[in-house]
Amino acid sequence: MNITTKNNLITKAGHNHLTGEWAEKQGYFDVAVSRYYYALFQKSLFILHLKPGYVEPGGADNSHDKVIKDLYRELYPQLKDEEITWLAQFQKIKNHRRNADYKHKMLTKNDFNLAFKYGYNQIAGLLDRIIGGSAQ
Amino acid sequence: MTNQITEDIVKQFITQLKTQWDNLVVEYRYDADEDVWDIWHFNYGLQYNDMNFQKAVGKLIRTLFFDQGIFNISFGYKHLPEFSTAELVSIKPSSVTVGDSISVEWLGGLQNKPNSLAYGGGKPARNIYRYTADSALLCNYDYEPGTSNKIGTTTINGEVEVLVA
Repeated sequence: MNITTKNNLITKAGHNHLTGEWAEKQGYFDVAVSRYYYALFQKSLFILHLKPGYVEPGGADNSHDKVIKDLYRELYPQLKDEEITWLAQFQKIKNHRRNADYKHKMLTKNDFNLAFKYGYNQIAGLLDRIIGGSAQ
Repeated sequence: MTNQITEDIVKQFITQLKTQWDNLVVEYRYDADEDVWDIWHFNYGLQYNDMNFQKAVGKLIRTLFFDQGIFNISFGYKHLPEFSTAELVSIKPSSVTVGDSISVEWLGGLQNKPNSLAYGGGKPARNIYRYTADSALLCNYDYEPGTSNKIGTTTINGEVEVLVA
């Protein structure tokens, strides 16, 4: 993956984050969860591709799970203890995205904040630190 | 793939966590579809606002899991979403058992107060949840017949109510 392609992931992550913010302000909390999650996922792919030779998992059902595990493996040596705790929520964030997209129940603002947004902010903050704050 | 060694480490993680936060309810399960050991608790204050907790948890995850090459774990606060008021009643702790008819007289003052008292003679209990008034639902309690005393006597952070759905 060349540098332009990598940077495109950061651009897309920024777009998804902005769309998530817009959806949140509109009260479209399930849409916000989905967009915010993909912002995290694209930042994660960008970080993983900084490692030469990184090969993304194939398109299997659990490819996102594998990317998250790869991210843990790659990042944890350089993270502070509290940041490891923040990052360890990533799988739960992913599952919230799945529920937001496919389940019948709609998120309330309170559910959105407690179940998703606070954890999202923690993970996004540390990924932005790794990237250098260029994603938003 | 689930294995006993990893599960033992998960249990060790929980045990060590509870040496510092002995009232914290921590649960886990292995998700075979995602190949993930999912570990959760019900205290959002610790998860989002307590740096000592975040540092301690991170140190345990680093040493017990990541340093051992175990990356298929998930840890965090589990939020139990707000319930449909039509499906929920609140009662004071007592020896409620599944199948009991819940009297409308036991309805409490929760934010999810039922909008109807049209249950008439009562509502059968199918599941029982612990609850704290200052946060979200604290613990999803899958009730098992014969443990009603445990429900009635459990006290977590001054818990004053249980929910029956």
